[in-house]
Amino acid sequence: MARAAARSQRSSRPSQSQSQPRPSQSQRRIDDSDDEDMQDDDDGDEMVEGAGEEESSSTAELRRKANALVRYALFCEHKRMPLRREEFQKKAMGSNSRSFGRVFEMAQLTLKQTFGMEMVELQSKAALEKERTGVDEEQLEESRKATATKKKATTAGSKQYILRSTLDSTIIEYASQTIAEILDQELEDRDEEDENETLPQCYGSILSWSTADQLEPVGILYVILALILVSGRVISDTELRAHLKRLHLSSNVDINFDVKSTIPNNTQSLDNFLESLRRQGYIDQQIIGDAKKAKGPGKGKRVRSTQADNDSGIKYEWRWGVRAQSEIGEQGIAQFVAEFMVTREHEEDEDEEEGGSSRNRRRQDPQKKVEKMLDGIAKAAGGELAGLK
Amino acid sequence: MASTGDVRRLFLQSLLSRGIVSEALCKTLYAKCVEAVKAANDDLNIASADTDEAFDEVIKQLNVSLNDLDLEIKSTQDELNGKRSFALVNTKDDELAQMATDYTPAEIVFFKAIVDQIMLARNEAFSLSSMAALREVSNIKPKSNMTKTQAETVLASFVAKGWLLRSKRGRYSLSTRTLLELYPYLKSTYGDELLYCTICHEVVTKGMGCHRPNCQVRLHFHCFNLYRRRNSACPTCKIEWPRQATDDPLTAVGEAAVRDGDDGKRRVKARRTNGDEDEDEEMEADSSQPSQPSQPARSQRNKRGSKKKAVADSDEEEDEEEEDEEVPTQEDSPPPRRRSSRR
Repeated sequence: MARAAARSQRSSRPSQSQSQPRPSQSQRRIDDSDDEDMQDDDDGDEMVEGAGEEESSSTAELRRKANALVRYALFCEHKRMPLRREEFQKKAMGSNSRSFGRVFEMAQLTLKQTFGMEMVELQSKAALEKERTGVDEEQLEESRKATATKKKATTAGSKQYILRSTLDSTIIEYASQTIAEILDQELEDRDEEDENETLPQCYGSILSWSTADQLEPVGILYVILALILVSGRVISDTELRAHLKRLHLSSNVDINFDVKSTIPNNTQSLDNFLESLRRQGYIDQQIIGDAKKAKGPGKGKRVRSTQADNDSGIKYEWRWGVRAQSEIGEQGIAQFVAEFMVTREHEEDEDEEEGGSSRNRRRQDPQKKVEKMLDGIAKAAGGELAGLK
Repeated sequence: MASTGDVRRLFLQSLLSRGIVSEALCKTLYAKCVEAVKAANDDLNIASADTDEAFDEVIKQLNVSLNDLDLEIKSTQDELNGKRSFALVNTKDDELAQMATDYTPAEIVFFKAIVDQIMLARNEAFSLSSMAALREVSNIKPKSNMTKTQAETVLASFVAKGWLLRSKRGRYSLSTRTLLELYPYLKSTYGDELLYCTICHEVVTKGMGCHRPNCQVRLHFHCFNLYRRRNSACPTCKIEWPRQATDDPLTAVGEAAVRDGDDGKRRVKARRTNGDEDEDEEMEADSSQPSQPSQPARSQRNKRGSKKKAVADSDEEEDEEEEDEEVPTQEDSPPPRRRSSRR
């Protein structure tokens, strides 16, 4: 279940990182059932007094738009595409796009209260770049502040949002584990369905990752993110491919998607897979020594790092993309790696009871081991692990 | 900190991750959501919903909160096993909802074409052979470059995600999820083709029909069984019925109603602009835009009489064979171009 637990990082722990760009007013109001009357207490600068705009700025109108935004956010997340503010404004805001701030607040509240989710703004490429290149702490601090301050965030932000769970991490963890009664019921229901044996496996967890996601590709993505992280947050293309090759993922090996996907033959080559991860914003590719020309999702020309490219002398390197920073987080991946390693070791221990010769065999509290491993990962990454952005 | 409201939030997230769930699973999930939240916060005193009434109340309350979002937890009985299933569905077909799918526009057009052929299938068969389904690829307008191999992948995805059912015989039909979620679309597009169960008043695409030629009675299998336990005659025309829904001389709705050769012919909804009402148009192929008939054509019911005799006889996967030209019933629409049989 290590994977599922790590997966849950996509949504867990909204509260843990202090450098949160997220506005806190949602927090403030989370348990406020009466949202209607509270709309006006902030964003006062955007209150429209002009009589001409009266109609479009009425609370009912705002609420309608906020509901549209909630729908839009859910639909985008379903496709694993970030919600683009501009697109939403074009589709649903009509002429009065000034009130977006308030619409956003209302939508955020509804998402939290109804679904236990929130919209999180992805970092802009610029902010990410700043963090990377900013050698001195001061500069780093500044860029953090820039994203932390709400006003600045709107000017500097990417204006792209993803949905993240606001449920307590213990709940998410519980909801990711197999529960016998659910599994039994799932299997029983499936038996009755026709003879479709190709359906994704069910695991009996409250949140059904296997039906909502493509588990194999997600697993590979997490491994790639882990490799980048422990290589000091950046890995050359050659190195990454060498690592993957050892996992039997060479460039000519296909990555399997399950039957839910519509990718031709449900397989994708490694090159295409990396490219699609890049487009989704999970990983980011740059030409070595040319940080300015980073290609972010949707930006720049598509540069494939194929073997041919490497031969031509251009060298690429990979880093985490903005989506990975906000959806999964360095700590999440580190936790995943540490738990995976420790659990494995533990199992091996139990398999080879006669052992004791190896230095690793010392029985240790697994929790301590995990912590040690986390320290090691942070060192390998070259600095303290970041929480969710 | 976990709060009582997290139960319904988690429950909704669970539904979102699954598509459609059986009633039993739905109840189990809710019970486990309660436990999950209790595990996170011992102090909470959360009522479980063990009784049917309590569970119905939970769903009702959730729907109140979803109502403004044009979302709803709907339930209906599975046509095959009669079990109730629940799904969180979108009830509004707006521009934003177009995005609610991870399918590409071409795949959606393909899906609509499949649904079209299922809805227009002869003899109330409401199903489509796999060969015929693949053939639909070439009928998509605007032309798509989807290959047959790719179409197979896409069809498998439709099945895996619960939008279509694939029977043992390899025939595609509408799933419970599609009936629930796309009912507004089906109703507006195929209002005249849709049949409703006389007992439960829900759409029937798999079930039985009364064998009296003009009798309109159609029932789900589970509704038939329920009804037949106490009654021996048709509720409307009072003709005596046999014991089983599949016994002669009752007619079939769904896959069992397919007759040899039916699949070779493609039916296309007429795009009528005038109001004339008589016979149905079944033309061979070459209709433009099978996916967006502008006007509902008239009722299949009118012709039911003649079609009724279609007692299900066997057909194995015929498909490839070259089928005879269907006589265009009337008014020559553009010269029926044959295409379906070519490959």
